Amino acid sequence: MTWHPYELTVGLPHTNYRGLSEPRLLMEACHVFWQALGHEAGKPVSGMRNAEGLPVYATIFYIDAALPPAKSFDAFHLDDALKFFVGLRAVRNLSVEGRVIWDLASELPDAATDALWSAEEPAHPQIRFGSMLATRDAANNLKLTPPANARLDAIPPLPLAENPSQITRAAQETGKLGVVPDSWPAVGSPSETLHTIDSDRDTNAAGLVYFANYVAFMELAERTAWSAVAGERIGQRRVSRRRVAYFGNAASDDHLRITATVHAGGQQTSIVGIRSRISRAADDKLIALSEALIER
Amino acid sequence: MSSPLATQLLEFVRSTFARRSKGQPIEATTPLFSSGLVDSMGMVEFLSFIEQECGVSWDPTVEELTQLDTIERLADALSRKRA
Repeated sequence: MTWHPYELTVGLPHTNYRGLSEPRLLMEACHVFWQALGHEAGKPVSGMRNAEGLPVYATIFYIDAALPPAKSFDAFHLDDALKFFVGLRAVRNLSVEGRVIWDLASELPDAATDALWSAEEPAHPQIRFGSMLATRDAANNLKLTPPANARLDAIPPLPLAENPSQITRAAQETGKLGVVPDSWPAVGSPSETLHTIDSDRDTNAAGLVYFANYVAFMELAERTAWSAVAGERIGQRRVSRRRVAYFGNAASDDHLRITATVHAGGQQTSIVGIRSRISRAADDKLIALSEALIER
Repeated sequence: MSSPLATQLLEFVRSTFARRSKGQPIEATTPLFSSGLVDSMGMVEFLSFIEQECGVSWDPTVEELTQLDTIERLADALSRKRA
């Protein structure tokens, strides 16, 4: 696997009161993922067109962010020099997995190898993206489509058994993502928040609600759910794991219903699991599911 | 009598998309893509299976896959490709 390096200096737009903002870091990570994809394909994703001349988008259907202890988002601060390494695997010209390793540049080697990525206990924060190449049809639905003006043959193949699409499908069918243990009981009642989509703020160049903004919507729901359970406003907290499956999108004039449930961590009272569901108000269709492990 | 390839494809579809069938039987003549049984992500997995497990290198368009639509017709197309 070729690992593409990128650099970023943390600026105010990347931060919130806790340090590095999770949704904004996800945006930057996906941005370098798409840059690496464009580099491998010989054409930026923005310039990809299908056989009918329609724009091709790399739509995200899965993300899995893992952060080692002491390297959660609050460990990073303004003016920190970050480095990203991006590795890709693909299924033909249709689907691309992006593996992003990131950390302070001083903590990472000059070049990455496959050994730097760890599925079990990563030494550095890492994010796995699952994406499909698609276009929008006349009804504004996303339709699988390969680019006609770019080839992904140079990208190593993604084995079927490792395709995160299977996790997304299972999540749609079971309502679970495997991050919050089944043995952790739900605490209190689910909290529900409503979000009115702001088309100027929440959408991307494809006119769709940007995937990372779903995490921003969930953060409000998570704080609300936690406050209801703990009787306090949750402030400092550390995300050690977040997995999100995306099943669809919402029109820019729709509303979203976000339901969050806190799950107690058993003996580990400082860690909770939160499962969040996002549904479209227009038809009550579930369009995203998230499970996160959060340390108080 | 279905071919070994058709049987292999059928077993894959049945095991992977069983929940989406909502209890309806999946047969060699069941429409896979036009019915929504196999969605876009599933189509990608289906092509992976054909290449990685069946050993057939095939680069169909999405439209070609949708037109073939059933295990019976897909297996026939793949067998001709293998020959």
